[in-house]
Formats: sequence, structure tokens, C-alpha cells
Amino acid sequence: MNAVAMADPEVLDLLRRSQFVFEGSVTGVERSTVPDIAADHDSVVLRVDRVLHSPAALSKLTGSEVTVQLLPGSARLGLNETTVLFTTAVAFGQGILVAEVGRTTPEIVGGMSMAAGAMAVLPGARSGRAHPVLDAAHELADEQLRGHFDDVAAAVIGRVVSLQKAGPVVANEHDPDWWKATIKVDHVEKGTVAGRVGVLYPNSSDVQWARVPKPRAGQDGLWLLHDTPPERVDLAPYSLLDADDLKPTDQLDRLAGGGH
Amino acid sequence: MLVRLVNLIPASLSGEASQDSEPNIAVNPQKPTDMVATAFTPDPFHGPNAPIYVSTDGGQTWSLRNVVPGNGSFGTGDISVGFAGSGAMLYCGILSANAPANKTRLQILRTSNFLSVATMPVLVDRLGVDQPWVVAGTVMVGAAAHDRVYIGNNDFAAPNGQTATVDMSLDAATAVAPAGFSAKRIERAATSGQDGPPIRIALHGDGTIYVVHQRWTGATGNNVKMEVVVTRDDGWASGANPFSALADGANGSIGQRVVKGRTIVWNAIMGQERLGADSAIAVDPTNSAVVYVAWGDRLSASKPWTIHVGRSVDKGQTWPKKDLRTLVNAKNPCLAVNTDGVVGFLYQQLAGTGSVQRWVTAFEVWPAAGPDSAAPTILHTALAAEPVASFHPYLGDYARVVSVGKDFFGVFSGNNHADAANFPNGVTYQRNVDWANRRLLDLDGVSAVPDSIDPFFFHWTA
Repeated sequence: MNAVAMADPEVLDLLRRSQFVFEGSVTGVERSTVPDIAADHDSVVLRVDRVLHSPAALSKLTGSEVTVQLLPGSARLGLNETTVLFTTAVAFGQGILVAEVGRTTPEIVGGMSMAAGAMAVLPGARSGRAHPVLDAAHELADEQLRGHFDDVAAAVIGRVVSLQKAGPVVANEHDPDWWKATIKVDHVEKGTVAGRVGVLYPNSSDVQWARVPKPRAGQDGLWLLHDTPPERVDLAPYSLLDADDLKPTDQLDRLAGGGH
Repeated sequence: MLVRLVNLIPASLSGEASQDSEPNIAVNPQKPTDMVATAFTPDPFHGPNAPIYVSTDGGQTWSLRNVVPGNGSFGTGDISVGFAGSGAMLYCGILSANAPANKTRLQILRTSNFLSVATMPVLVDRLGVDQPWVVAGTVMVGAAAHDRVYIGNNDFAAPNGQTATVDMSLDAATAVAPAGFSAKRIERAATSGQDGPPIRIALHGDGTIYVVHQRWTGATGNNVKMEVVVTRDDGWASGANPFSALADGANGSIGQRVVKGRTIVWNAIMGQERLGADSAIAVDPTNSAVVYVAWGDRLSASKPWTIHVGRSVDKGQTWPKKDLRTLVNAKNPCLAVNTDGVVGFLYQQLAGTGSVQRWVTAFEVWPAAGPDSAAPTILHTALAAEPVASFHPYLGDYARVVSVGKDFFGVFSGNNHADAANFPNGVTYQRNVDWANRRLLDLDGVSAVPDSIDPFFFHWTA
């Protein structure tokens, strides 16, 4: 894994509280591009010069205008002023309205852009170059993974060797449709697991369960396992309940060292 | 006449490709240019709140407000909305995505300003409840306007498997949580362990309230036997024993059975969509004795899924017309009646076979005498195999139509493939689209975006 510098604490804190980070230039003050939300003293419009961190659906916002509700009491921005804003969503229409969480300068964030979920090495990234937003995003992702690891009862690397229906047929739209995967364990990172372990998972495609991993025969992975509650523990000792309960095996390094 | 058909996804979300299924709609009856719609739409920023869609220009343009607590990977869970009869209070029933594993979590929300960007406050918060369905009205009590709000739901905490329930408040607008809401059990008869998910409500201005639910009477594996049951209250359900005004003509139990012994093959798949729980009800605003019910069933497990529409003209006591309309391989029936007694009927029907099967969304209006030979208006038609479902429901376990005056307003979800031929009566897309090359375009106006399921709004005027 590549060595990456520790994230700037201020950037890390801002990114933890925001979802959309961009560098922009002010094109209007006390103005709004969202027709049914009136502008006020805290409203500014910026042209997005560079998307630094965003969900995929907004990664191509460069060149568009965005309305920002500045933090009350924060320093005003003047026309043509350039800044980097950390924001959360408020409204989406013909235009976008976001709320400022905090700001920094273009010099601080460097020259890198990234979209949410992009954890691989990115074009333009190279060793020794500072990319504070990317570093912070990596660190937050690691923090989230380690937090999830702390929450589960067991974490193993193993291969799925069999699948079978485990729960009763229940005619409910949101019934999980419990199945059991038997996993041959190759490595135990957490918990007291050995040999083969039974893992319940919701096989339902219902909106409530679709995001939870559905093991496939022969599938390898890093499995993050929850204790099965007493009412189902006779079916299997562990359960998959969360979208993050299955990771690629190479993610183990991120758990072990906190590095990348 | 179709006034407009609009894709709800706004221009600023041109890059989205979520499965925005299971739509719902509320129209402010005092100002019908003000509307709220919902769907399984996540916060584009993956933040803590899910969005609602709002419009202030009669549905020509829509924008999103992230105001619903409990955003998940696909937005909130089931969500339904309703405006009060006056005063513009918006009520919302959701299944929060912030629920314990293996539990559903009903929350009832309220806001006095549907355009606000503030998180909607929670009035009721309860586990183990499914499919909230919001209907609201307003009545004058002396000089004071009282919002009467009724939220049908399937409450698995109800005793004896009598799960059909209405959470209701007789004055919901201003009181602190729970704002007068309490759960009233609709089901009085024995079930096979539960009722079906949809509990639908029709409200009349004279205080008559109809509720239709599906009483499950037996189940073997995924094969369920059910009865369609209508209950009624004649005074806003304000008495000591609400929803008990209608007794079955055959056995005297509370609730008149419209049909019995019908079959559901639970979670059967048709055109990538799951089946098992279609239901709708509407009352004639000119005559509260006239009530329409729609439901889906099979005559036996091997027969096709079929939508039926029935009518009663004696306050739900008898149902001589059980098949005013019969549609094979259809789902999501929606009913509303306008102030001329004209019925608006929306449905989604799978047409054709094999790889060329299409979901066809159609709207019909009938005179008070019943359906005539007029052809339905096709709002949308698209290949049923595309895009591939990322979860169920694919289009939705429901869609919705409401009436205000003589007009009908509706929402449905469907494949957003940018082919004008899929919209024989026209459509407006807010999101970026290249009609000539049949492509959706991203925010840059250049990059292609994959097809997905989007919510669509339509306005029909008589």
C-alpha cells in the first residue's frame, strides 16, 4: 500500500462534517440560483472551478454556479474572490443550494480532485505531493472501517463453501428472507472463530435489505460478522447486517495498521 | 386532457442514476400549484436527511429539499404525504432508514411550510409498522380549523394478527408530539397471522371515512388467501368505536367483504417487479355513498395477476359491480374522483412477451356511469427489462393519483430512457437529455448517464 501523509486536522474536521468540497469564485453576493429560495445576507453564488470531493452524481459540476448559505457570522466573500468551501446539501433544483460548514484557501488543498468513493490511486497523485482533501478522505474511510471493525463481533478472511435457506417463508414486504452461508475461515482478525462458520444473511432484494452483501458460492472476502440475536442464533452464530460487512481481503491492512 | 407530464429529477441532478421508485404525491387543495412528491430518492450528498420533491408552479418544475430524517442508501423507506384541507400543513408518514436491524420504524412528521429547508419534526415514532399511507382533511370546529389526519399502516405489534391499523389525529396541526395521534385497529376478524400491507383511506367532506384492507385468511408458503374488506366511519372516526359503521351483510362482522377467497402469490415477479399488494380506494366528493375500490389478485395460483375495480353506491354495503374494469398483468391501481363525479384511474400494465415486454403506464377517466369505450391515455411505455432492478420494489408497491376540483394530479415511476416514442403524449425532462441520440446527459452536458428509474408527474384536467 502507498504511504500517505497524515491528514491536516482542520481539513479532516471539515470533511467529516461535509459532503461536497469545491474551489470556486464568487459571481454574486446576496443572490440565489434556486428560484424558490430567496437570497439573504448570507447568500452567495460561486462558479465551481474545481470539485475536490463530491458524490458521483455531482462530480461534473465544474463550470456550474452553486448557491451557498455562508456560515452566519463568517467573513463575507467579495465578488471574484476565490475560496474552498466545505458544504452540506440544502436543495437541488435548476440550481444547487448548499450550506457552508467551513472554508479554507486553494493553497491549502493543493491540486487534487476526487469523487466520493474513489479510493484508488488517482491521476495526478504521486508520492511526496500534499493532497489534504484526498488524505482526509482516505483517513475518514479508514476511520469508518476501523469503527465498523470495533462494532462487529468477529472479522475473518474466508471463502464461501455453501449456501442454504435458513429462515421460514414470511409473507412480508420487508422480510429479510434469511439464508445461511458457510464460510471456510483462513484467517481470524477478531473473535473466536475456527474452521467453518455459519453466517446468516438477508437474501431479500427488498429496499430495506438490498444493500446488505449476498454471499456467492466460492466468494473470498474479509467478512465483518455481527452476533446473531438470541431468537435466530440456532440458525447460525453470526449475521451480515450492513453494507460494509464484506470487504476485499486486501482491506485487512487498513484494519491492522491504520495505514493505507 | 393531459396538461403536462414531467420527469421530476431536476437539472442539477442530471448525473443521478438511482432507482427512484414508489412515488407519492400531495397537492395543496387551497393552492393546487403547490405540491409535494416523494420516492425512494436518497440525499444526493449521502447526508442524514432524505429529500422530498416540491413544486410551486403546478408541477412544471420540481426541486428537492433534504428535510426528511432518516436517509439511507435509497432514501427513506416507504414514504407518503398529504396536505391538510386548509392551512397548508403537510403531513408525512415514513419508514425511517434509521431503524434497528430487522425492524421497520414508522415516523409521522409535520411541517407548516413545505418549502422549508428545516428537518421535519417527528410526531410519532414506533417500531414494527409497514407502509404508512397519509390522507388529511380539515374541518371547522366552532371557529377553529382542525386538521383531521389518517395514516393507514400495517402494524405488526397489533394483537392477534389483526394488523390493519389507522393512526389518526382529530386536531393534528399545532399540538406538540404526538399531536393527538393514536393507533386505531381496523381489523376485527381473525386473520392467518396478519393483514396485507396496503391499508388505504378515502375521506369525504361530510365526515365519512372509508378504509380498505386485505384480510389474509390463510397462507401456505408464498400462496396467500385473502379477502378485500371495506370499513367505514360516518363522523371523522371521532367516536368511541371508530370505523365500525359497516357490518358484513353475510356474517355481521365489522367490515364488508367485497370479495373473498382470492389468491396472492407473495413476491411473485412480473417485469422485474414484485407482486402481492395492490390496493386503492376513492369516494365521490358529490355523494359519499358512492365509493370505488381497486385491488390485485389471482383467481388461483396459476392464474395471472389481475387488477379489478369495483363500485358501491350504498356506502360500501353491497358491491354489485366488482369488475367495472379488469386488467390482466397490471399493478399499482390508483383511483380518485373529481367534483363532477368523474373517476380518474391510473395503472401500470406489462404488455407483450419475452425481451420486448414493456411497462405501460396509462390513465383513464370515466363518467360517473362507469368506464366507457374511450381508450386510455398512454403516459409512458418502456422496456421492462431495462434498467436492471437494484432492489424491490422496482417501480413501486404503489403510485398515487389525487383530485382537486375537476383536476387530477398523479405520480408514477418508470424507465427514464430518453426516447420520445416512450411518451406518446409528450413529456418534459428537467434533467439534461439528448433526445436526438436518446441519451441522458450529465451536468457537463456531454457525458452520458445510464438509464434508471425516475418519478414522473402528470396533471389532467377535465
